Amino acid sequence: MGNPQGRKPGARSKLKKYKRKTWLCRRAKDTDQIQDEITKADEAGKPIAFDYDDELPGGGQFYCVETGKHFTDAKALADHKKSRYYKRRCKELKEEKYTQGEAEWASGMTKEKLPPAHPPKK
Amino acid sequence: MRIEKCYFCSSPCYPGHGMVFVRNDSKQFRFCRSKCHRNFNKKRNPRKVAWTKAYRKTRGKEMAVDKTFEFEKRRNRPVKYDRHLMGKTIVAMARVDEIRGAREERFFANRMKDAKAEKKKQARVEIEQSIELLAPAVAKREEVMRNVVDRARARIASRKKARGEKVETSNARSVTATAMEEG
Repeated sequence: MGNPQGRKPGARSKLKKYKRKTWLCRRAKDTDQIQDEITKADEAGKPIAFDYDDELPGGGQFYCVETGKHFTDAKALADHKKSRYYKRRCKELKEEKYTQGEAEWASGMTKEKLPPAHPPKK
Repeated sequence: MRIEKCYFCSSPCYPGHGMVFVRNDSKQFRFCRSKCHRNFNKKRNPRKVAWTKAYRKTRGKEMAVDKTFEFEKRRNRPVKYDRHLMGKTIVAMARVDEIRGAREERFFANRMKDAKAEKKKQARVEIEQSIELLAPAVAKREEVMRNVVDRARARIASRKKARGEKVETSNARSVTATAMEEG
């Protein structure tokens, strides 16, 4: 008895899920990217907004900044803002940004600080 | 040639090992092995994954502040070759390593100073809190022990009988023993 392929049906679905999630074309924005965007918008004093674009869902007019997603209408966006995924993402964004510098600090490597080699001419 | 540190677990990435992911904003992420890459793909925060260096250092599980960390540095300005300096550096490297190892050991000993007593305390609290779970098990254990003792006595008696000794005396002794236990 058994499957002609020699494995249980659905045995590879977990792996497939992981693969589909990590396809680069589908890759969602990382937390640090969104944090950068938000700080940039704050500095500029302008909220993140898109011009009308036919190719984006909802013409790009219903954008969720925290998750970097476009929605088709205001209702979909409002529903999304109630979701667990959105709330979790908001929590993550409040944390300090993790960088390569921190990875190096954790391994016991610091950055050398020297006076500038070519000091700016006055 | 530079041995970079893994973005996720902070271990060294030696040449020919691991991989580099270049994101579409041209930022580079270096991983020492596929384990780290997969965890990055799952968008996990290294500060929250227990086996990474970032986790251990931010939680105070490892020595994080020390003078011996002042030596390893990302130096972007090359040092002019000097044979004497090179020799001294190589000697110093071993010595620094030794000192850091000793300090790390001391740090660990200090961290674990009260661990044993604390664990015992916690265990005692847990037992006190859930004593009603334990009571039937203890009763059952006593019953089992009683059965074992009875069986052992029976075995001894039968052996003695086979040898032709007086069984009654041993039986009498066992009876008195049980009586003493109960009384």
